[in-house]
Amino acid sequence: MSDAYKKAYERERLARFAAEKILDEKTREVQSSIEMIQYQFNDLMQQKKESDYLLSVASLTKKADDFSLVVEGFLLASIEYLGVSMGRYSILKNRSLKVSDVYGYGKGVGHLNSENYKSIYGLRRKNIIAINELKNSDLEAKLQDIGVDRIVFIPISCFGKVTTVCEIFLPKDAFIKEEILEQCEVSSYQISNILEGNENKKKLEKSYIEIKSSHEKIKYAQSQLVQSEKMASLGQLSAGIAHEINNPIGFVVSNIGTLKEYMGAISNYIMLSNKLVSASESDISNKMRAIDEEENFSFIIDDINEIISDCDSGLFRIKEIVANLKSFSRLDEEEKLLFNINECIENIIKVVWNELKYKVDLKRNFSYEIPMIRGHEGQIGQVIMNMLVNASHAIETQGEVFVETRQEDNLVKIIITDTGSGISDEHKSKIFDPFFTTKAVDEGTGLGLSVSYGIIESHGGEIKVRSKVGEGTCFEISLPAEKHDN
Amino acid sequence: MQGIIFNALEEFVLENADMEVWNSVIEDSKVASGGAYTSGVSYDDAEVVALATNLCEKLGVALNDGLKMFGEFLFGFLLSKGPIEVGNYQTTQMLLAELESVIHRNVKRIHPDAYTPFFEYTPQSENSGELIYRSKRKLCVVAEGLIQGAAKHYGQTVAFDHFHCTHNGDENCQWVLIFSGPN
Repeated sequence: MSDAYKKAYERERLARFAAEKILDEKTREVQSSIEMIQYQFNDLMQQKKESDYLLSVASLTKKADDFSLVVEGFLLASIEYLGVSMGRYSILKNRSLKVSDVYGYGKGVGHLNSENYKSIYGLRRKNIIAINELKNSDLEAKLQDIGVDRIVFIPISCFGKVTTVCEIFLPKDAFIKEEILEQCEVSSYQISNILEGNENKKKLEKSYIEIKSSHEKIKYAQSQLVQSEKMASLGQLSAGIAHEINNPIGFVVSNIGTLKEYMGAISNYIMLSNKLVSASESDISNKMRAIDEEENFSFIIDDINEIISDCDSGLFRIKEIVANLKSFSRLDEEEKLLFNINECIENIIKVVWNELKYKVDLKRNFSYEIPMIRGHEGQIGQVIMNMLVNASHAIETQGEVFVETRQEDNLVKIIITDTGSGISDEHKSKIFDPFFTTKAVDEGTGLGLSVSYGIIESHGGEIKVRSKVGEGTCFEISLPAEKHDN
Repeated sequence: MQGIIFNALEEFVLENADMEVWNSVIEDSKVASGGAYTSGVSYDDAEVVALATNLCEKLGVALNDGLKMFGEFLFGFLLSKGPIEVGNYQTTQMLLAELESVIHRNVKRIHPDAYTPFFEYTPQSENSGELIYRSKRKLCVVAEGLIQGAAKHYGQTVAFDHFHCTHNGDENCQWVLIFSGPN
């Protein structure tokens, strides 16, 4: 029996050796697998670190408006990526250098000296410099104290010029692979792009504002030019017309005057004739009575007087029109004198008060420190009169008119506001056109505002109008103030 | 054939005969391994054929009967000493349903080079189903023994209707199995 089990024992031993051999092999395989997994894991972690870094840098585009935040963000991301804890940045702007505190340490670490900064801002690529190469013994001592023996400098340029440098402090035992530093450098180009993009955006916005402003100015100047041209050509036309009409008007006025005189005599004579005829029964008297019955001389005489009177009014109006037309072309004759605008307005108010008093509640707001104006007081008065009369015409039954004077920088402003019917948008662009009027045919010549415009323009000023239908109108006249030499 | 089967065969012989019988079976079979079998190692199928044949001769048992008895024994052996946790099955049907997808799959994980027979069980009712078996070794008799062993373990009885057999030239072995129990 023991022989049988001896044989069995031997087989068992062999089987056990085979089993142990398999075990050793499997153990080696497992160990190898573990090592490979570890290696792959480390690789993966490195890749993750890299993509986290790239993501952090890319997300800095969100902060693009703030230069310092972008640089700070890049510095902190790079410090983390390199697996160290300290660093700072400096920014060169308008010839002055701003250096941040050391992140991960605080204040108390001295700056590099100007020689160092000169060479660093001349770098184009990342660079590692040992602290003893800086030849700055104070700084070197301090850095040694905090365990730093090298600094990585990463320059960031904007439009080809280095404006920022990140300093990352490396402790003695830190070993940084070249690929990792390369990655930092590549990321710094991305930061450059962000900074440059931001500058371009600012320039673009500024240009846009300037262009928009210029555009507005051009539009305004254009409208002024158009208006001036209208006025100029009409001025020429008016001068011609006025000149041509004047002579015939002269004849007619004189003839009407003569006619009036003759009518005086004729009507006297006829009145006496009538008396004679009514007291006589002769043939001629009877014929004369018959003619009178048929023609009705008393009516004819009255009518003739009325006709002459109408002709007079008509001529008077024509003369007014011609006088206005003449003002168009005669604006820069006569000498310009200094006068006070408040006094000028008060005088005009006196003149037109009769026309205003029934409908208008007039309110004044004159600035008593108002500078003098150099110009033709009569013409300016004509403008004010025109405005006040227009204002009162715009008010149907009762309303208010405000007259205000004030100084704004080197201008004198006269503001006349009424609570009348207002001017529609459609008419607003035409109100300064000669002969434009919304009044009935025999109520206005339509020359008032166009003449006013011309007068103000010849004084180097401006008229602006604001109006809302149903609410009222506001005219704002600006005239250059006379400068004081004291 | 995996070493564990040879270990099972040795145990089977020791249970039903003794070490001397086993020693002489090994000697007579002249197996290349010399009878030293390690569980996770693969050995030539011819060795198990030689051992089984010689054993049945020595014991005076018909080969098929012997194989069936061994199959029944093998179930218990694999259950207790096999490397795979057989899990929480309550019936043979549940085991058969996951034989391929769970048990043989796990075997291949540890022994990628092992050849496992193919089993597919399709239930027809709670107590019956169709089983397909396919293997280069054509050991359907051992398979029946294993199923018998399983049924006994779960307190069931099983009836076999072996209507297709590879020994008859069919592509697969196929049974209808009818279970009763567990009690």
